[in-house]
Order: sequence, then C-alpha cells, then structure tokens
Amino acid sequence: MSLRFAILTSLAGALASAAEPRVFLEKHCYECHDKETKKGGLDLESLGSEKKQLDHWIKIHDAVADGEMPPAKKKTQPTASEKAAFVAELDTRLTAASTAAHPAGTQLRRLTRQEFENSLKDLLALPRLDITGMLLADGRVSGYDKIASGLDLSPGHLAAYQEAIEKALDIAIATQSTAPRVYNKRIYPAGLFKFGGNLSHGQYVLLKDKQPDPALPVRGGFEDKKGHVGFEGPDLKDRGALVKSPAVAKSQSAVGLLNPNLAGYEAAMNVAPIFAGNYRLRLSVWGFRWANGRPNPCGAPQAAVLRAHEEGKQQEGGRLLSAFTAPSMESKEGEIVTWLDAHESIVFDPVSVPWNGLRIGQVAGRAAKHVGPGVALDWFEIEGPLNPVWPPISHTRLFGQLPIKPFIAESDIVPPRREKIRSFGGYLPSMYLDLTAAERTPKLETVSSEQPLEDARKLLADFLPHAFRRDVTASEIEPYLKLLQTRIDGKDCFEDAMRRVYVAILTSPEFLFLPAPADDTALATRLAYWLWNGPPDDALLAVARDRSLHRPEILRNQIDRLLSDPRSERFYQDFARQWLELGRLDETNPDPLLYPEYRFLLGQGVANETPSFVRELITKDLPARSLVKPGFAMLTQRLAEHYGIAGVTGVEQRKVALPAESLRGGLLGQASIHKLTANGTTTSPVKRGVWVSDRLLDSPAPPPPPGISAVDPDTRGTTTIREQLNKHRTDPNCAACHAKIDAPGFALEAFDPVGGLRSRYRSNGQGDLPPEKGQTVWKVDYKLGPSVDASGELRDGRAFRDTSAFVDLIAADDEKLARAFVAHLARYATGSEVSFADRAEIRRIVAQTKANGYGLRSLLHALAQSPLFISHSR
Amino acid sequence: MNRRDFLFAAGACLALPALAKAADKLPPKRLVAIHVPLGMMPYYFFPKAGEASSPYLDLLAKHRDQFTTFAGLSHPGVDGNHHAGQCFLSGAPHPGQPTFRNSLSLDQLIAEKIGEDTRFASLGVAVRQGEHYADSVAVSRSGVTLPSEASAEKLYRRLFVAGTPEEKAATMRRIAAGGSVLDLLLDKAKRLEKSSDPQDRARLDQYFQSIRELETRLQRNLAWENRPKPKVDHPMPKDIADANEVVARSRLMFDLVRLALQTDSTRVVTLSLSTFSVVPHVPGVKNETHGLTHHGNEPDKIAELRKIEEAQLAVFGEMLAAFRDTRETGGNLLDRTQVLYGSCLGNANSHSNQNLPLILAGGGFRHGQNLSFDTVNNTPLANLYLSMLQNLGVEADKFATSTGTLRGLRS
Repeated sequence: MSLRFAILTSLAGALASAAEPRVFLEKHCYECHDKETKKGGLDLESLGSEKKQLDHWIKIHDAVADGEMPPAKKKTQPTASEKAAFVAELDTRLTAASTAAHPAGTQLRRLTRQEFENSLKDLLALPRLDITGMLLADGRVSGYDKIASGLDLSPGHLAAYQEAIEKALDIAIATQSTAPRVYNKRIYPAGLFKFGGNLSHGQYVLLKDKQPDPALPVRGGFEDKKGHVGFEGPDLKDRGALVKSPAVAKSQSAVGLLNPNLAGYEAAMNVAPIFAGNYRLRLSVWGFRWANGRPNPCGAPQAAVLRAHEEGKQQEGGRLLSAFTAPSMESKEGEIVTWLDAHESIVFDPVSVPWNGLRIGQVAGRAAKHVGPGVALDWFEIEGPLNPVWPPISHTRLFGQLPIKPFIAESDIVPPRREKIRSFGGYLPSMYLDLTAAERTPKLETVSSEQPLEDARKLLADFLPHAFRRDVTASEIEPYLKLLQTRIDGKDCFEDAMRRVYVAILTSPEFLFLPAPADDTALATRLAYWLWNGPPDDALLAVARDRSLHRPEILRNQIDRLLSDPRSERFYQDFARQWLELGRLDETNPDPLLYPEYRFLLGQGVANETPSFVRELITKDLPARSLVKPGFAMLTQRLAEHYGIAGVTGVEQRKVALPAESLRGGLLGQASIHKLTANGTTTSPVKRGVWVSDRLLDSPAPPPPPGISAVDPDTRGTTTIREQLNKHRTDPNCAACHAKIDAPGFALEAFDPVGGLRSRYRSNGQGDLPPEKGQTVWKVDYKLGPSVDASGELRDGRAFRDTSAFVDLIAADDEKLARAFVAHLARYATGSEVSFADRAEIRRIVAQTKANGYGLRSLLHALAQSPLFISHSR
Repeated sequence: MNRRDFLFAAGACLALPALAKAADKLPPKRLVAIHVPLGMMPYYFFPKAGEASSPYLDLLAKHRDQFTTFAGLSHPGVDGNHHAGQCFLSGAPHPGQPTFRNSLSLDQLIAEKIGEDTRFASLGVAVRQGEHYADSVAVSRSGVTLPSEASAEKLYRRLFVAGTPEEKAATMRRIAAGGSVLDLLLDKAKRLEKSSDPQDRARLDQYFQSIRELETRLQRNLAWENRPKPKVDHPMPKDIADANEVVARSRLMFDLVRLALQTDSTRVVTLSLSTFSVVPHVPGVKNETHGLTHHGNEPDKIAELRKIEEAQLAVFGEMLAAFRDTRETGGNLLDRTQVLYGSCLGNANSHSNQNLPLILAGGGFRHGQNLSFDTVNNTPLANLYLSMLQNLGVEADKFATSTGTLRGLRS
C-alpha cells in the first residue's frame, strides 16, 4: 500500500497528494495489471515515475480517456464522473511532468539536407540544383527530419557541405564574358539513330498523314521452319538499307512507337546540351490503337514523357522532365522550359504503351498483325541555352557587375579551373558540331577586380545578410575579408579567393543553423523554412525589420503571401512526404506477375496524388473530415482508370468531383498510402494499422515486444493474412496491442499493394482465372485466391462491416483528426517534438476553428499565431 | 609567415608512422565486416540439427576449417526489419522507433584503436544501386552513419593512384585553401562558444568539434600526400555500369579490399553488398531481389532467390580463397584478418531480426565448427564482437549489449 502510494505520488514529480488516481487504479485496473497478473506486460503496481515511465503513463491516460480501458467486457465499469476525475487529475500531473522533462531552450537546429539545397538554390538564384544526394542523410524523429535532436553534425557532414557548395558555385559562376550562342533545331525522329533500329525491326512504324508511310512498309510476319520468330528475317537487310536511305532518314514523317522503352535510353533524341542552362523543348505527339497494320482511333488519349539522362547513366531511369498528353489521332503540341545540365541526353518514352515481355519485332506476325496502343512523335524541338540576361543572376549574386575579362597569364597567379568544352555522344545531331572553333576552345576569362578588398567588402555587404537571413554588422564582414587577403597572398586569382570566402560563409554556423524565434527576424526564418522549406525573401525580412511580423494581422497576411508563392510547393511536397511517409513510396517494387498494371505512368499519378491533395485541402481551407471523406480526388487519366472512375483524360493531375459513397479521394483511399504500407507482394494489416494510428490519428502504436515470431507471408493462395494474424492474436501477449493496431488495417484489406480495390486476393499459385484476363492491355498471369474480409471492430467496441463503414467512423471524429493534423504540422513547423504538455494548446488551437469544421488552412493560421510556433520558450 | 603557411610548409614533416620495412615482423591484425542487407534464407544457411553442413555452407566446403558459423545470435532490441541493418555493427536498439539514436560501430571502435598508422583509418565500401537501408554499417561515435564508396574506380584512385605533379600541386593548394577556411571557422568558435543556452552550446560544440576534426584530417592528408602511395600489380579498374552485375561488382570490390589490406593502406574495412532494386545477372533469375525475398513461400521465387544468394556466397568463397592465397610473413592474409559475413535480417520473408545468419572466417581463431545457441532466447551478437575485439588486441570487457565473450569461440 505505501509502496503504491509512493509510486503514484512521485509520478508527476511536482504534485504530492491527491489520491484519486490510486483509488481509480486499484478499483478498476489492478485486477489485470498488478504485479502477479501483469496482463499485456503492464504491471501498474511496479511502474516507476522516471522520465521513461512518463510515456507509459501517457498511454495509460490515453487508454482510459479514449474508452479503450477498462475493456468494455469488464463487468464493473467506472462511472462517467469517476473516469473524468481520474483523467483530469492525471492530465494535470502529466502536464507538469512533461513540462519538467522538456525544459525551455532556444533549440538551435541545423538545416536539413533538403533545406540546405533549397537555401543555396534561392540564395544563388539557381533554376535547378541537385545536391541532396551528395549530403549525408538526416536523422528522423517521429518520422520527421526537421527535429533538432535528430540533426547531428559530424566532420563527414562538413566535408560533404563543402563539396556540394563547390558544385553549386560551379553552376552559378559565369566563365565567359558573353552568353553561349542559342542552339535552335527541329528534329524529325525517322533519321535518329535509336529510332532507325526500331524502324527496321518493326516495333516502330513510319507514319504519314496518320497512315503508314509507303516509304517504309509495315513489317510483316516471318517464322522459320521450326516456327521461331526473332528480329532476323529475309527482309531485315533490305529494311536496314531502306531506313538509312534518304527516303526514310531525311523524311519528315512521324514515327509511331508500339513498344515502350525497356532500357532507359531507347527512344533517345540524340541531343545533349554542351552548356548547362534553361532550354525550351517542344514536341508534337498523338495516340492511336494499332490494328490491321495501321493506326486507328484509341478513344482516351495516350501519354508520353521526356526524360533527361545524366552522362554515363543512359541505362538508368533518368529524371522526368514532363509528361505529355497524346490525343487519339490528333497531333498535339507540348512545350516546356527546363534546366538541363551539360551532357544530359534527352529521351522520349511512350509510357502509356504496355510492355508484355517481347518486342513487337520478335512476335509472330510482327507489326502487321500486332494489336495494341501506340504513340506517334511528329517532331521535337530544342532551343537554348536561354539567357535573357548575361551574366546570369546567379553570377551577379556572387560578383555583382565586376567585369569578366581575359585572364592574364604573365603573373604567378594561379588561374581558375575550367572544364573543357567537349562533344558528347557519337550520333547526329550533335550540338557540338554546331559550335565554331572559337566556341569550342574559348579563351580563359574570369572576374576581374582592381581593388579586391574594397570590391569584396561591397559584395559581402549584400551577400552576407542574405546568407545569414538577418542584418549583419560591418565587423562581421572583417574575418571574411581577412580570409580573402590570405588567399590572394597565396596567389589565388580573385575568383578562386572569393570562392573560398563563399565556402566559408556557407559553412558558417550562421548559415547552417536556424535560430528559434527570439525576435521577428528569427520568426521570419522559421516561417519561411516552414512554408517554403527554404530561406525568407527580402519582403519577409523587411517586415521583420519593422518588428511587426509577430502582429496577428501582419503574420496572417505574410502566411497567405507565402502560401500563394510557387515556393510553397516545396512545403506541400516535403510536408506530405514526412507526415504521410511518402518517402517510402518507392521502397518496394510491386511483383510484376501479381500487379502487371503498376507501371511508370500509374506510379506518377500515385506519387503526385497525395501532395496535390494536401495542397488542395490547405489552399481551400477544407474541413478536417475531408482528410478521409473529401468528395473529390486529385486524378490523372491513368490513376482514374486504376480507380475505376470514368471521364478523366490527359496527364495533368486535376480535381475530380466524386459521389458521396466513393471510397476514393481521401487519404484512406489513396493508392500511395496503400502501396507504402505494403511490400509489393502482400499487404499487412499491422503495417497499415500502425500507419493509421501514427500518421492519421497521432496515436503511435507501441513497438513489438522482443522475441515474437513474425508472420511468414504466403501468396500461394491457400491462406489469408487475416487467418495468419488471427493465430498470432490468440497469444494473449499479442492480443491487447493488436486489438488496437489491426482494426484499421483490416478495413484497408479491401485495397491491394498497389491501391487497387479487391474482393479476392491475387495469387501466383492456386486460384481461379480472373475475369479481366484478356480484357486488359497488360498481360494477366495471376489467379484469384481467397476472399477479402474488410470488417472489424475498433478497440472501443465500435464495429464496422466494410471499408466504407470504417471511413465513416474515422470521419465522424473530426476533432481528433484536426488535433492529429495540428500535432504533425507543429513538428514540421517548429522542429520540436510535441509533448504531453503541448496537448492543451493544440486543443485550444483546434477549438478556435470549430465553426468551419476545423478548416485545415484555419488550423495552420491558428498554429502560426499560437505560442507553440511563435514563442521561443519551448 | 602565418600559421597556415607554416603548417603547409611543415606538412611533410608531420609525424607519420615509419613505413613497415621489417620483414620479420608479424603483419598487423585486421577486420573486414561484410553486411548483406537482405540476409540469407535460413533453411538453406543453417545446418539442420545433427548435421555439420547445409546447402549454402557446402558452397564454402573447401574453406570449412577456416570459418565458424553461428546459430541463435541476434542483437537484443534491434528490430524494425530493414531498419535493423544500420545496427549490424553497433547493436543500438529499436532502430525503427522515432527516438532512435545509433551508436559507435565495431569497426569504428577498432579504427580508433588501430587505425592511426594507416593512410585510411577505415574504409567503407558498398555495392549498391541508389540509396537504401544500410548502405553503410559504419557508425561514428555521435551516431552518424558514415558514407561508403560505391565506385571501384574512385576507391582505386584514393588507394593507389598518385596524381601528376600538377594534380599534386593542385591537391596541396586545395588542402591549404581548405585550411584557410577552417581557420576562419575556428576563430568564430572562440566568439560563439560563449552562447548562453546550454542546449545551443551542445549543438555548436558538435559543430566546432567537427571543424577541429576536419583540421586534424587535413593535417594527416597533407602528411600522407607527401608520402608515395603503394604500387600494386593491378590495373585501374573500370566501374561496372550495369547495376545488375552484382556478382562482378562484388568481385571487383573484394579484389580492391584485399589490395588495400595487403598494402597496409587500412586495417579496417566494412562492405555493404546490397541487392535492393537489382535483377542480378545470375542464370535463371528474372526478378528484382527485394521482391523475391518477399517470396510468400512460393517455390519458384524461393528457387530464384536461392540462385542469387548462392552466387553471392560463391563470390565470398572466392574472396576467402584469394585471402588464403596471399602470403605474408608468418602465414597468409586470412590468418591475420577477421572476416565477418552476415546480416541483420534473420528471415526476409517474415522480416525477422532474430537468429541471424553469420560467418566468421580467419583472424587466427580456431575454426571449423558451428556454434549453436538458443534460437528462442538468442545470445547477444555483441558477445561475438567482444571476442573479436579482444582477439584484435583491443582492451575491452564490454561492447554494446554484450554480456561477456562468446562461449565456445577460441583464439
């Protein structure tokens, strides 16, 4: 008795008396959770009060507050007032303990690697910068890489920063006094090397006026005596010659592609810029259904993409530049302006065309007999590098208007390092061939300064406040000038000496660390790294300089301004990635036999649905229940097909209204979530349940106890995961936690590992032939196994018969959804963990927005105005 | 002359260990730790009760007296399926949990103790495609995973290629210029370290420690830059662009690791051989490896995965043979080198982190046995690590979650 009393009184550390919790525990909990029984491993009698135990006590608090404990089947239940008193008392004690455990600190925090990249990109006005891959991965706390305690610094980090900064400076600095000449060319595909082979073999066809071009007949069938078909054939030599002849090679006819790219490089445009820069790319495409040896209308449009492949990595995936809609039998022009690095080669890919295991040229009957979708490319244009001003802004950020002059070699000054201008690839057209001799070997030029220290002082007076995101005193500039002098004494040229200065600035703690908002300037920084995932702009810093940013109306206006800026896209992407774990989306590849429909084009739609959904919710201030029941979905044509929603055409992700009963649209109906909580082959109700309680409800599930036997997944079609889990749950040690975890997971069993709706599990072993076999453009080789059961019961006793009923239960508690959203948003915005003591403030924030159903933008504004965000004392 | 220029000029004189010339002296002891993140299928790896070998161990039969296998070992509390890989050498518990912090890995502890005398205190090497779990298993004292080198060309350059005089001059200039930058940052330290908030000070401390450590490294680099790199009878390798060539890629890296040890360029190496996101060029294999590890007990997938794992073990066997065939004073390279091969996944299909597949070869242990422990309540893997530490001459009575040295393993 005295022992129990001692434990409980020391529980919160702060309060000593008040015996209510003890009475409640003795009366309602010890029956199962005493020293002897310790059901579920919980022994309340011996539970201590250390900081570690605080987490235990929070779980006890939540279990009683949420009605999970005491279990409903227990005969003697606490009265409502008994329960309320217990929860209130525990709440007070835990708040005190939590406040003591998380003392106020200013919480300086390092930039994440994504913030580092964005900071350099904005600071140097670079259209594109890709350096996160060079930097060490950030630690994660509660799924977020923005939390101060997870952001360590090591010599490895610093060395990597220096390398990444050098790369950014290479891109930023102009090495010539005049801009490179603009290359501008229209390319017809028939003459391209990579198209030639495919035209010969017959997986590509030459098309004129939307019909086969007589200049190159469609390739017909051939089988040898044994019935084998391959690329070879008696006609191949003649076709090869024909493809190389001017009639085809110089033809301006379109090329129809009946196969998608296999290796990354297949439909290469054979152009790679010699100079990095912005380029305008244009093309004309259309789609068709190939049958009877000619193009036919295909109904809904087809789709194609352009990718850029880094030099030496032509066989790898490449980076997506843009997707284009190819309407049925109707040429459509598309245009993008995009940054290309030097020697990145551009590749076309008809991504809506399925791959069924063989190239058309290898199949009996070949193109003449082939039936299936195709995409035609009329032409492609490239224009650039586009430099509306020279030197580019990136250069003037570093060197102002100092002249770029020939480097004078007579002194003992070491010249700046320069990459040689060189050709890329052996095939025509080559952008290198277009260059004059003088352009191929330009004379060595560099920024010149007559009075280096004075010029540097002016440059840094402008650069340092941007880099440090605050005003800078004259004395803060001095050490950098000293460094400049050291390097000039060491015979560095001005450009190189200044490069050292910039490396020093960008590895200084003032650049690498973000302060907590002790004043308006620091508040501006916190705000910008939240809503832009990058540094503040001049306008925001100007408001901070007036010391008015913290004023509610002004703060509100600035938030609206930030959210309407294109840079807010970085917030939506990054927040969705961290909050909803989208970073794990491509961790696994779906089994191609079980899920043949999951290819690149679908993957694109799946990956973009969730961030664009989050953006839509916040932009339109939609109510919290929209998280799971929005009444619309963000869809592309391919994603809509996947979801069985008609009437959506084209590659753009757009808002589509849905009927009230639709399972799609909300987070629980998005394929991204289904995929990242599966392993490509099977689904796990446990993983999905953990995701729902952790990410959607902010009520993290406890980790599995040590030494448990995990479920051994089985796709032979003889058993279901539910049957296997039920066995696992008969173990009383497992049952208690799994009763809480699994229910949402069972509800989501209606969705397969790629987010398709299913009533039966797909199987590679036993099962029935699926009705869709032969009806789809991809090959169906799987069978249909046991039936799916998506019913279940929540821990508090509420039962649901299917997914839809489960979603309704979740949507009904919109206040809880709102609280979870605010807690997640707060972690992202502040870089701090959300403690028990913060719960009261979160409730207050949420209560403010009750009138509009907890609008998500209203919640964001309320969080920004709350001490949770604005104050430094947490 | 300022401090930097002085150090720059004096760089050549900085104390470095004498080059090993004593032919009669025993070569140094070393560690090579190889992690295969996707593990091995337990039913082919572990010998059945009462049997001495297994289908997988049969592949290494000719080295049977040179290695020991272990059953019933794992890291206590190291769970989180694939997340566990990063703890292979550290044993830090609960890597999947939000509050996880990794801790010093076995190799880095050893590097602290025996890495001083070589050009590279340790080397981290990887065969991989893209970024995945456990691309490196080397973890610093502050819990940061250290980067690994995935390019054989770059590794070879770092180890063996002396630059042209111009390149060397450029490197020296770069080191000097880098030093100037560090000088500035160190000066800042003195002013900023007075920051009032203790939490902030801790963070800034980490920053300035890092700067100082870089400065020390710079000094070492400067000194090593003035010492010729070892000459080896091995041409400059060419990186294999096709990521599906995991076997050839592994072979290439194993070769370079052997050369690095032989030339005493380093004594501590970690290798991560990831088969994530690749369809290995192994006859009969058509599917991506990670997908295959979730085989759902389908016989076709198990058969394919077995081919991949066998190919990996075969090339590991080649490496053991090459180590054994490399003579050095008093024996061969394997005699003085502990080679650990294993995974933090006990069974990839069920994502279990218990009963890990492990092989320890060489290093002067008495091998040829299979040491079995309780497969329900596993013995800490750190016990094996403690035995390895002591064998390397590192004074320690505990490492990570160890409860003692490993019973049955004798030097």
